[in-house]
Amino acid sequence: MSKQIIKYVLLLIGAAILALLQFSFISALPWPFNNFELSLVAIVFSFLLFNKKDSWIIAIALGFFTDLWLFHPYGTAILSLFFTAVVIYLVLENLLTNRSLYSFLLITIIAVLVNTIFTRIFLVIFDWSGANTSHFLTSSLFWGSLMWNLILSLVVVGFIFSVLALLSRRLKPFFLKRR
Amino acid sequence: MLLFWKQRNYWHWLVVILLILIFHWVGLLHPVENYLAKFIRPVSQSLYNIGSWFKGGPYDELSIESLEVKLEQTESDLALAIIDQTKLELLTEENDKLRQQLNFLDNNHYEAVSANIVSRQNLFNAADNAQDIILDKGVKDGLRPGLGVINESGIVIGKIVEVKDHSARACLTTGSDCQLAAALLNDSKTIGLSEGELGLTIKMDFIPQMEKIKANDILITSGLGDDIPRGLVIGRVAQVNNQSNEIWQDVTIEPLASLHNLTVVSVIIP
Repeated sequence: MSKQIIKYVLLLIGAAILALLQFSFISALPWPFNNFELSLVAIVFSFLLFNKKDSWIIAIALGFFTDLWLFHPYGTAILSLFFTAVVIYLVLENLLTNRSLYSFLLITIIAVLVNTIFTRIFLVIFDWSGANTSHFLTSSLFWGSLMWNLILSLVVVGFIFSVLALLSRRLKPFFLKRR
Repeated sequence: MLLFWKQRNYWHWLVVILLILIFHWVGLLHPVENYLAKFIRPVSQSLYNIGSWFKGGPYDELSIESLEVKLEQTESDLALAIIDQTKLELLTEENDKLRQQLNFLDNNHYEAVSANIVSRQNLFNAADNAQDIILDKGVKDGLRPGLGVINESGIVIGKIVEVKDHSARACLTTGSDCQLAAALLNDSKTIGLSEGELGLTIKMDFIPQMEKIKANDILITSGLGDDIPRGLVIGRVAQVNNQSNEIWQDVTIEPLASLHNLTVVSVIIP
């Protein structure tokens, strides 16, 4: 029981550190690197490294800290990250089950797109004035940010996956060969 | 998706989230939130400075302690610079009058709160130079929405738009949603609203054609709106766009301060 509690406390501290890195360090980086969303990459790898219960805790904790420190409508991050985690879990369980590099790259793309959609939906719900969400689809800045978020996330996921593949036998960097 | 939700044990995670949201909205989480907000201050400031370093900004020359001294110095520098500018354009009598108005910082000794920038809000995908900045001072330090934010040189770089107990969000003058009550130091002292354009410049439009505006005219805060005192420099007119067949003219103003590598700012409390 005490091991469980220590584990959950460590997960919360880890999530807080990741959220703080996103909040202060990544946001201060020059364009386009400030578009990278560390939280999404962390959630993708949490399903690889931990069990699903731990992954829900990480997603909720990341959302909680992000909502706490940022100035967007409260609840946007916690809900969008949780539902993104749900989608990642469903894809990993039902579609991309072979845990290869390509699976994780595809999951990363899905995660970024799904999180963007959920974030916009919850912004519309929580930000009643709509001042911050209007006409974003026609904004080149929005599409530029999305593209760079995708590219950077794919690079980081590819790099971390390759490192983990060297250290662990649970991962396969490439698809299985056909016989 | 349906399979997921049919498994009832997943619903408790949604209940946890709903409880967090409810506890936040009724204020039960405020002590924890305040503690966490204060706890991260030094760490977030350091992380932000490291991140800013990649932009090539000279962040290590500034500190909270030195800013008060620099502010006093820049207050007098600011007043002198504006007086010099207006001497070229105004009669002696007008100049004396303006001197009284624009030297308000020296005359009134406005209080200023120094604050570190700990993050930039990138949620709404604003241009790089127009992202809102997040300060490590908030309601508990006397900040409130509408206050003006200046850099170490005394130039207005934005205004506070939202505050929490220990943090505040400020928009930058180049942000399209950042409006300031402003006045031009031309013959007729044109007043209006300035707002950011494309994250690069500031514009002031709907100015009647009869107003005479020249390049290099100085834009200052007019003191007519928000809680920003009159006379703080915002920028300099770079281009005047007036067509003879138009009712209105507009001006493009270049900010006099670099906005992409800010790390320490001051908030003027009138």
